[in-house]
Amino acid sequence: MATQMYFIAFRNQFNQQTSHEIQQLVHDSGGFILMVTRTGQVVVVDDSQVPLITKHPSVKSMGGVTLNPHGVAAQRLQRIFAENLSKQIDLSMLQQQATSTNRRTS
Amino acid sequence: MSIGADLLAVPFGDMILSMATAIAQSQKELDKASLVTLRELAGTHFNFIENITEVLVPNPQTVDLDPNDPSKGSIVVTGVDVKTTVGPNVDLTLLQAGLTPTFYQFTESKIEVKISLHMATEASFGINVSHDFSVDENVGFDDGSGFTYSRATTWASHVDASYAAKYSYSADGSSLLSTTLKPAPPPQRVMPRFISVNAFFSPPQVNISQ
Repeated sequence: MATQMYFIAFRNQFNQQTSHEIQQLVHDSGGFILMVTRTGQVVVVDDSQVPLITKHPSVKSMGGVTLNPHGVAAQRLQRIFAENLSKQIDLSMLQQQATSTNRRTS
Repeated sequence: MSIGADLLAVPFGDMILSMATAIAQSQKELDKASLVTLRELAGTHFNFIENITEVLVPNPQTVDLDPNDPSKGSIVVTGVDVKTTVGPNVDLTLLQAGLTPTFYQFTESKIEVKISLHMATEASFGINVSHDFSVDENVGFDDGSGFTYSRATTWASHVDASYAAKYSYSADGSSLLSTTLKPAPPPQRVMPRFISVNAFFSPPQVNISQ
């Protein structure tokens, strides 16, 4: 299966606790949160986890999205996504993986 | 049943119709889901600050060589003052900003039907022949007057013929239905065209994006 970018729309008005719950659910599903707004979240998650996330009572809809490079603020969005992603990825772990791969190939 | 009849028994028409109907319904549902996402993106607003201007202004500073002894003089060091001007907030939707819903399309569908037919004929023919042959001879005298001799021969033949034929026929069928789903660019008429006019410049800058 493939990892895709999704927009999760909230069912009711913005609620900090609900927003946190959904963020946690995405994180537990192996996904990443790219951006949080008052009406929804932009996340990256594996296709197979979508049914699980949509089952949450506060999730109104979840649909795949694509970043249009010609958008007015596409570059800014890309930067926000990259910043938020960098905070969630354990870089030390990636470095360890890269080192072990190099050892194996050499 | 002949091979032709077997092939005719496969409901090709029904299978193609069912698959086409299923694809059409799925496509409709996928498009609906993408339009729901489009609506959500169009309804999600955020404040976009287009420009933050930082102006570096020289700000020379005079520093005394000895704060306790002004007679030792002072030097002028280069200082910089940063004046930050935050541009006006622009209310944008995620759709305007550049996030578009992903549309999916069934690009390829395939129906494959395989039939394997097996026919076998097995025949066996057997003949079982047996012969029995016996001879009885009797020699004797009857009440002193004569010599008697009798001979009896028995011949028996048995013929047992058998014929067995066995026909076997089997037909195995398997069908494969596969379809490929790929992301596709949004339909031209669904996606709005954004025309932004920046009136901060003279003449105003017009940016058209889709």
